[in-house]
Amino acid sequence: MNSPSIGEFEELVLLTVAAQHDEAYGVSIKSALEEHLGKNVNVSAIHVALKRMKDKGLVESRFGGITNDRGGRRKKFYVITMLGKKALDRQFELRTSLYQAIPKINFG
Amino acid sequence: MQVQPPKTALRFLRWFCRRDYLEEIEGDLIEIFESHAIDRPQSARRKFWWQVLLHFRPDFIRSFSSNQTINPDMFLSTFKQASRTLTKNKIYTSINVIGLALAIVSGIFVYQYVRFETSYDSFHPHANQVFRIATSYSETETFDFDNADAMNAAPFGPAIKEELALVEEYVRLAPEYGRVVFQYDGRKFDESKVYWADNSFFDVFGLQLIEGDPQTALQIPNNVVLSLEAAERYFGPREDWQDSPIGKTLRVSDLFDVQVSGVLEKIPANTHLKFSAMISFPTFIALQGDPTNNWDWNDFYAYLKVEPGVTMDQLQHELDRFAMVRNRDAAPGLKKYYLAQPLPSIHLESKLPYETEESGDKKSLMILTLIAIFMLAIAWANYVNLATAKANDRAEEVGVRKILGAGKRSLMSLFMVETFLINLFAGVVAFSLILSLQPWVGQIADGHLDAALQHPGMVAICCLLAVFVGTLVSGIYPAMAQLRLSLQRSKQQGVRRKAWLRGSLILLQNTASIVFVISAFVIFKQLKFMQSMDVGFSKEQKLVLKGPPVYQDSLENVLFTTFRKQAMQLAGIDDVAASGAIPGRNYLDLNSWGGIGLEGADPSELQAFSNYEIDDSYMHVYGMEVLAGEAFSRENPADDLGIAVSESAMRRFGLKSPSEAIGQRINYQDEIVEIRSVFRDYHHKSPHYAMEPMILWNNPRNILYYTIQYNDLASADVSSLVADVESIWRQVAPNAPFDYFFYDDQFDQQFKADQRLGQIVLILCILAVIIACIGLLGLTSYLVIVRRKEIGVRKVLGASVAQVVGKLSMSFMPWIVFACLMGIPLAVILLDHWLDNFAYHTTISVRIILKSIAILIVISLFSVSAITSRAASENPAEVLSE
Repeated sequence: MNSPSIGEFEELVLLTVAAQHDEAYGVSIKSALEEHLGKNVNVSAIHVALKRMKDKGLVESRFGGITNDRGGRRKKFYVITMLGKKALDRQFELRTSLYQAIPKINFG
Repeated sequence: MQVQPPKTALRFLRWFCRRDYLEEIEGDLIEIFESHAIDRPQSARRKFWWQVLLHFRPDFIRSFSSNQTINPDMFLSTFKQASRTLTKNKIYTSINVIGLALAIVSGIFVYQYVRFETSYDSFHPHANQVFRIATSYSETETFDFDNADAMNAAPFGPAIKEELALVEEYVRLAPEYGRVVFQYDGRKFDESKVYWADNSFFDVFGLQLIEGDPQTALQIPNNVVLSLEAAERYFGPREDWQDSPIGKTLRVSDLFDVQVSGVLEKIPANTHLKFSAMISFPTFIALQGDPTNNWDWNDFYAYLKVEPGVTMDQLQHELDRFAMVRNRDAAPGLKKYYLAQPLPSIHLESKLPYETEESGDKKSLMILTLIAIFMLAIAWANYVNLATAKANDRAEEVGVRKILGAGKRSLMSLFMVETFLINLFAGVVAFSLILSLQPWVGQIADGHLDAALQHPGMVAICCLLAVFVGTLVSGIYPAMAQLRLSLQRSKQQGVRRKAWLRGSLILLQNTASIVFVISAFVIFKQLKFMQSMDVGFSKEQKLVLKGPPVYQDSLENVLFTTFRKQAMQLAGIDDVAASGAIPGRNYLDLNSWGGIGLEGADPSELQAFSNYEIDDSYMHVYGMEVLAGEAFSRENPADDLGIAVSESAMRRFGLKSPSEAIGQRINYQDEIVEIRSVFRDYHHKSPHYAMEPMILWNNPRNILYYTIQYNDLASADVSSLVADVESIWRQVAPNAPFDYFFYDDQFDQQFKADQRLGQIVLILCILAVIIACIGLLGLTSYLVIVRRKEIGVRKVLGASVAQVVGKLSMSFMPWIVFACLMGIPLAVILLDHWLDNFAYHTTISVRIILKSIAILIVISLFSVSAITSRAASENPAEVLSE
């Protein structure tokens, strides 16, 4: 079975989810991405990406416990699925092989 | 305190967001908000809003279609539950049903009436291309409504068609003022509405002929086109026609023959131009002379058909230019101006002298519409009031339903279904009431009801519309109020909380009631005022005959003289007079001639006067008050060429006193006549019109009426008198139908339209007050139940029944006082506006207002105390031990 295609932003979110294994939720993903990218990220874009990847089976989610933070709302934590990991691997392989095909170019 | 995210934004998010994502998104947004809010609360709120809006995208918007699948069982059970609640509270249900049904019935009847009145002449295929052109002689450079006339001169039509490219066609209609009798095959009928018309008539109005050719029907002399009703009078019902009526010959007034050249389709009743026959214009020219070059013979209605898309303003602009060119050389008093009147607007908007029929009245339509809307509003307010008052009663029921898992949606639908059932029931009652009352209402409204809207199907649609609108308007608020009441709230608190709403609805109802009561009083005062006002002549003991239709002057006098001589011999007859018009009847009988002035006056000072011809006995028979000179008499031959002028006509001639006027010589188109007497102004027209200067010619040329003055007779003698008069008539004028009426009946006819309005308004007002009362009754009976314990405690503490009743009833008083404060000025403004319709009118007296307030207070106190006294006489021991 072919892995579903993922967009660039989705890939970034998926990478973060995988990196923060089992502790990734909307705000944490947002701050991690902002740190790495060095620019503001909209939480709505992250929510959209998470929802679409969940529909494609790349991530799974679970609710955390009720705390006094966040006005009493539970966090929703995301984990990467095997399909999701495969998609990341394939993406990585694709890029590496393409990268290695670059001849040595002298910009001097 | 910690800063909270904006509530509205949260509510919006919760409203649109998918349930399975809501908690996550809300949580994340709040977390971000909280971290921002520490430094800059304001910008955090703004950012929160922005984030919420960013989430408003297809991915997260929930589906708004009902997630409950429509389950027929569920639906049925909602219906069952709602109808159980309604049958349990029979009084509550019937109060609402009666009120709503009455309001719907009145509303639909008013709609039928208003629709009829406003749709006049719109059935003509190109109604918006047809204009009637009225004229005025004015001193100023514009159309002068005080000197205006609905008619025009005969050369106007051809001239304007020649001059203006945008005029496609014109038609001239000349009304036949005299009496016309058509005779066919021994059958004779009095045709009251006969016109002389150009051949272009069918082109301009677009009416269809069922027999004959519209291109040529009115082209040659002695042709006539009949309306379908008239044709059926002579040739029997249309289905039975063996051969076409075309070519058959009718004899007109025993003078000349006409050939039927066409029969029109049936014409709807809502037209200002009602007629039974159109005789071709060439016939008019042959009989009465050629008017084609006479610009001062203002006896022709002129209708123009313009090119499609030409607006009234455009046409008016062109008419003004046309008038300017023509007026360049005219003397100041003889400048003629023109006014374009769109065909559909004539009935309601044009109130010029010499209309084809009495115009409609826009103001009374407005009053009727307002009343109908108020009635519906009152009935809906009743429902809202009663339902919200009962909300507390049902708080427990709602609580139980909520606990058992009823959602907002299903509770809402339950309440809405209850409202719908009540409205539907009212709609069904209204439907059957309308169908059964239709003939009766038709009689009151004199047939002025829209025909299409009377069809049972249309009535049903209107009722259903009222039901749906009523359900929405009156159902939503009580249902929401009911939902908001939770179990924990105490009953008392609930009642108090809604007091302002109830108060304002009572205020609305009582304001409407007081306006209605005052209106009914004022309208009736005005009707009585008109019928009893001093009209300046005597109305009693007069029998009027319509004179025989004859064209030759000499013959007329012979007929009348013979008739008078024989009639005077009958016992009980005082005098017999002949005249060309009589007061209060068909204002078209009056002549309006221009070019009248004192002998030797400058042509620019000549003026137009209303006038008619009388004989020597007329002023005596009608008891007119002579201020100077003598009433005409047969003994004085000098009277024969004299005229009598009214006081205001005298002043218009520039004469100061009646005695100065006597003997003055007046010039009318080179005929010199002498003023023989001056009489006091009298009301020739109804009080809607101001009295106008009048000239009476003592020379009956066009006798239309024979007035017989009889002694004070018993009713039996009056009928034998009529029989005697008829037998004389048969000898003198064997060919003319004998047509008579009693003058005082005829006089009252003038007020028919006003009386009709008065009756309708009175019925509506009574109904409206009844509906308001029903509402008050229902509300009181509910409030009394709520306050039963309070009443019990009061009685235990020593209050008497009367005190308790007083206390409860007085709680409504402030609202009634407020209602009067608001309603009285409103009523005075409205009615003042209405009274402006009459040149002579009564005033709105303080007495009427006091009477109305008294009636309102008595009615409301009566209905309130009827209920409260029953509650107050209950035994407190029983009430308190419950």
